[in-house]
Amino acid sequence: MQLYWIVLSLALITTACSKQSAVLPEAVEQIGEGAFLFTHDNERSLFLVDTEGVIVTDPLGIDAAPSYKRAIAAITDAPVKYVVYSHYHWDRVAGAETFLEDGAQVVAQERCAERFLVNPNPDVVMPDITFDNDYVVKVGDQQLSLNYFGPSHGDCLTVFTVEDQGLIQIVDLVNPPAAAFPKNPTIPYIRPHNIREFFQRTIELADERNIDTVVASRLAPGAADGEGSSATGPVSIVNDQAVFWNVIFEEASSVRAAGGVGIDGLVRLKYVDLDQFNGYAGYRKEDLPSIMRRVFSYYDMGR
Amino acid sequence: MQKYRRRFYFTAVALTLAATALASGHKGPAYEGPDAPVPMLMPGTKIPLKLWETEQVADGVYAFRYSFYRTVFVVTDEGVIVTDPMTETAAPILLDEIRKITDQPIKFLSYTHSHKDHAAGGEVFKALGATIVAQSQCAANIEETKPEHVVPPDITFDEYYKIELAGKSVESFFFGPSHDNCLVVQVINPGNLLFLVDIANPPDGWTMFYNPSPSEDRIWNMENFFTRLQNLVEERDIETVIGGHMSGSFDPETGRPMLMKGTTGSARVVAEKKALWMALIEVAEAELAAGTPPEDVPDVVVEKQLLADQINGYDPEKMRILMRRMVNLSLTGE
Repeated sequence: MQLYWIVLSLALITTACSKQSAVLPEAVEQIGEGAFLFTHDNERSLFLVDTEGVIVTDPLGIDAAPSYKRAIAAITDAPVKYVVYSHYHWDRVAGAETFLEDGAQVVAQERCAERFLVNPNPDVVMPDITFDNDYVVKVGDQQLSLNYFGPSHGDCLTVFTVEDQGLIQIVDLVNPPAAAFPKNPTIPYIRPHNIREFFQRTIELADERNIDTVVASRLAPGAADGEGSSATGPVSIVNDQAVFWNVIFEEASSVRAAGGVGIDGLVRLKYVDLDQFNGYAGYRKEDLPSIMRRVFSYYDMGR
Repeated sequence: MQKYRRRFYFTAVALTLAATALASGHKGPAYEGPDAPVPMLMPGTKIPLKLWETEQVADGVYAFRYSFYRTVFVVTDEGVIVTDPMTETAAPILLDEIRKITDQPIKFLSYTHSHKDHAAGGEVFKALGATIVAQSQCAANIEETKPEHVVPPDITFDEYYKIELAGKSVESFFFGPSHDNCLVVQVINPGNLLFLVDIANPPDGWTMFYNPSPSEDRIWNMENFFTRLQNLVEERDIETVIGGHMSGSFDPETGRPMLMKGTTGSARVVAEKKALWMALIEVAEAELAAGTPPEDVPDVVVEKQLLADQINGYDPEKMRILMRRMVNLSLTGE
């Protein structure tokens, strides 16, 4: 029986890739049929392999991209056809130049492209293809669906789904193995006026497409050498992360109504029901005043 | 002077907290949003600040303050131009104050940006027939989030718009994202006054941020924004700024800390605030370039006391938060 699975696994990899390589590069983990995750430092990027070509998502920077390209070349001889940006932050999207030699086209949501024009970075390649609400990138039998649900983490974050394999990736917002506190409690990227709507629409998308697996976009918070990290997790983490934001907003509202906010705009922790945050990865109660400060600003300013 | 500067932040905040606590009868001080009354005492006195007041700053030009917030209106023989209505609570009072001065119709309302703590309350002016003007991205923001009591504009513009009545004017200039993605600065005449809201406030551009995680500030465009603003100040020979808020400062004669109305002040605040932004960015970038791990930059900067002597009301905790923001800017572009 064990031999059967080994033979089947080898056959799957062989089908997906023209190069007959059963041993994956150290930085690569296979998460589905022709679906792989490349890791560089703390960041992870999804790529899809077909005999006709490869769909790469975020290149992860100019240092990572050459390693990324070599890792793909160890798996397949097929050319990289597309580089798809998840959003506009340089730490994720710089370095696509490396993939242009194969004739790859760069795809991004249109607000990402607008941002690159006004805030250029020489290491970030402008997209060839832009879209408004949704777009499908297809190479052979591989298909990556892109959905935009308004500002969330930055102004143009795009949800990735590989529908036929039940995969979803929501870069920088949802990460296995569990729903988490924001890595940076000042949350300069979060768009509070739409973050809850974004999660609601993402959950609806996952339901409609029978998605069951969420794909990581970085190592778990605080993980040392990947310890405690996982490449994938159950889609329920998306819902758990949505609940986190709902709790933050609701608690901030309650605490302010109870007079638990100083004239400095910072919450007094004795007013906060801390128990409800204990289960989230990376929880530090000291981060709550900064996180809620942003919510109070939103309540005052509307954005 | 320096020792007073060091103590300013704590003194000003303590006074405000104490006054708030006494006046509100709460067990502890609380902030309940821009519409909540914020009773204050003039520092060192027992004289309470009025919740609102109107001051004439030039011929036909008035500054109206409600709580910490301020707006400007211009009275002409052909009607009145109002800038921000501020909030649904402040706007009717603002209208009452205008009516104490003139019976002229309210012709225009011209938003400085889209945040509802400045742009709400326009209904009372719209009902009187005012035409509302805003930068086009502000209109998009209002359409996107539909904030309560913020009336969508009738006229939008991209870079520049001038409202002129009987030789008096409000000119709006958009220099790209800064605070909010659509904030404009306004030049008001008579007086050649620069009205700045939420981006710099008289009398001092080197004051520590009230909110050190300025998430609504587009730091990636600050250098460009302030360069263009400085150019405007120089080209128009502007000497005086009207501040969109009250602010803290020091008595110029004694150096003692004081809570300033900040109604008007020197236009040098523009250069000072630009210098503060650039210094914060450069400090973070220098540490990163020296090999300091990103997560360690805030502690290292505070430990080295970098900029501590230059920032009025320097606070190490706020500096740590600011540095996290600057490191993020370097790594992600935001």
